[in-house]
Amino acid sequence: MRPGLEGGGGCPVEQALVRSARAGSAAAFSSLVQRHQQAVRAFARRIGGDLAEGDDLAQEAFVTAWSTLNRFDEHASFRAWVCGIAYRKALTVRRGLLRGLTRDGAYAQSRDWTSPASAEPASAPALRRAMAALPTDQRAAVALCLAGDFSHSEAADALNLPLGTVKSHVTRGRAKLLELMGGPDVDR
Amino acid sequence: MSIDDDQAGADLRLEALFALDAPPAHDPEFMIAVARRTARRRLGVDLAWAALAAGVSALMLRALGPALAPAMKPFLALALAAGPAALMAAVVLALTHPRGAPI
Repeated sequence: MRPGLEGGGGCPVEQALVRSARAGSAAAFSSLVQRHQQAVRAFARRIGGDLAEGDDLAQEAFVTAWSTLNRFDEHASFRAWVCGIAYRKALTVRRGLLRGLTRDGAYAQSRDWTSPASAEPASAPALRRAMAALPTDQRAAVALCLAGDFSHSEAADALNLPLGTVKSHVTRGRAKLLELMGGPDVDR
Repeated sequence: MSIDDDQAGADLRLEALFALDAPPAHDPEFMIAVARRTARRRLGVDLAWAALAAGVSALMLRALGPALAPAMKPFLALALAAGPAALMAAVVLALTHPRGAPI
């Protein structure tokens, strides 16, 4: 498990932080943000478009989490809950944008996926473009389970999808990513 | 090489590519941005509650005013008499004691 990406569902330290944050402690909420910002931002960047939009989405998700903390079940995974908030926000934004566009492909092409390309290897923008071509729910499942270290059940909680659907999204998403990036030798 | 080996290798390469644009584990700028937005939201909520309380109070005063006015008359006269003095005292205190300094 990568540092900073631990789930924390049921972790006593995290439960104590959630209780303190609910009682109004800004420091406790700040600790929660610190513990999970990497996982939530990584997810938001992969579903939200470019890096800046992803970070904006992650910030909004944390603010919404702060204002609805009373609804959070402290035995659940905090990062999955915040990722779920980010996912629903992204869906809302996407629906709004798509109203003005005729096709999903037009939306994907209209985005500047290569904007931060300055020092990136050639494969990173290619991966971003391939991710953009995946359907939203598939992309979200791939972002959590392949790009992040979420378990399938944690991702199912975050996306509010059945476990089997998440597993199938991950399998299909992985196959499609590899296909779009030119087969298994994605970095050659 | 088996199909499973191929797939495991492809997964590892995908994971490595994903790791390239992973955000940093510690990012003070992001933390500050979240804190700022949270404070703004908190201020908005506080203002909304204050406006609601003021509105409800105004409505109650409007409704109960005629009934309470006779009983409040002596207090009103006292407030009108002491008001300017209290205002002057507050202004003097504010000018001679900067914010946060002990009075």
